[in-house]
Amino acid sequence: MKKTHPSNNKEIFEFTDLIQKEKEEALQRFRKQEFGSRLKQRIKEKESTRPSPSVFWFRKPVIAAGIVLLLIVLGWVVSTQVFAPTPYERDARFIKKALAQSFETHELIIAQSVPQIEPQPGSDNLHEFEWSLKRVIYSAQRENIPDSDIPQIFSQVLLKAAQFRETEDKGPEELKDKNENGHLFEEKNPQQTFFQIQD
Amino acid sequence: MIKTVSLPFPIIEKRAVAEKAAKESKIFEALMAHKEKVFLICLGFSRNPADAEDLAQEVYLKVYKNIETVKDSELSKYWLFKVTRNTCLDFHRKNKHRRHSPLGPESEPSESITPESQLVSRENLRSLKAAIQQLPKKQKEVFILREYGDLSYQELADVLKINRGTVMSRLNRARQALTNLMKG
Repeated sequence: MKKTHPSNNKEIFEFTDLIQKEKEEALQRFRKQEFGSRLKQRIKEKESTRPSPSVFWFRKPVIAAGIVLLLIVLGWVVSTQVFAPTPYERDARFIKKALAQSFETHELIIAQSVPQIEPQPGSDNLHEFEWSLKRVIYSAQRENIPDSDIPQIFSQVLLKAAQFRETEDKGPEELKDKNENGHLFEEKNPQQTFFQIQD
Repeated sequence: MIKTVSLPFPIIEKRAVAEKAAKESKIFEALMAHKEKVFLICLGFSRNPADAEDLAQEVYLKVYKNIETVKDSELSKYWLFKVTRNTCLDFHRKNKHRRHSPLGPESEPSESITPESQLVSRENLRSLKAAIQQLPKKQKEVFILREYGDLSYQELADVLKINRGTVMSRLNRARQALTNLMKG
């Protein structure tokens, strides 16, 4: 541990004494001066430039400036309607929504009932087939057929279409059989045809 | 049955403002009781009593301006000394190259002291003040707050936010440095 040298102690005492004398003299002077009254005067001068305490919230200029700026921007947005949609956009949105609602049910039925068949050479285009189904839907709409009946109609249509396609696929061979046997298989009993083919 | 009467908002607001103002005024009055200490600390940092008084005024104006930030009136004393220290350090930074006489022109000579001894004393004080200004910042502030402001070790620790031990070691080093500077 460091020890203070005795001569150092003497010097420390000397300058402590000097400081003490300086303080006493300065305090005498200070007490004569009217520090309090001078301070009050300066505070009054400051007070006159100080904002009213009731609006203390607005003392902070950054907050006040921020609020004013925000109001100006809001006013500008409202007056110019920068972010409002154009009449065309509004119409487009409305049409899209209405169409989505009206086609929702029908598209679902088509997706469920129509198997994903690649268009094959020699057969009709699938696109054409879809449009045929859509035409059925529109006809049903025109005739005011309830939506609940549509799946039933489609099942019948698809069954017939499947039968038609089956005959189309077998086309030339069936025609040959017809020529040889003198008759075509009967639609009413497709199982019979199946067994005939197996044989 | 006691009926509660709801006061209109402006009256409530006025009351709240008045209560706040009264509280702030009370704290300010309590802080004004330390004006001599503040003045003496300013004297330590500045080179003459006139500057010290101006600095003390500046300190109290700052205190008045920011009195609403004082939450605990018990701790306001330490805050006052912190403001004093910061104001003085700012002043010192701005007026580093200004020259002052160590004592003001109006300082009255004591009758018991001869003019010769007074002259020696003034010269010693001048060199002491110069030596204090040469101290490192941390040592200087501890020394001035202790010797001029008469703050206790604990008060110094609270104002400077350091340990009591650190206060003591800094003060010791400052005294050692001063004696060396005075010798040199």
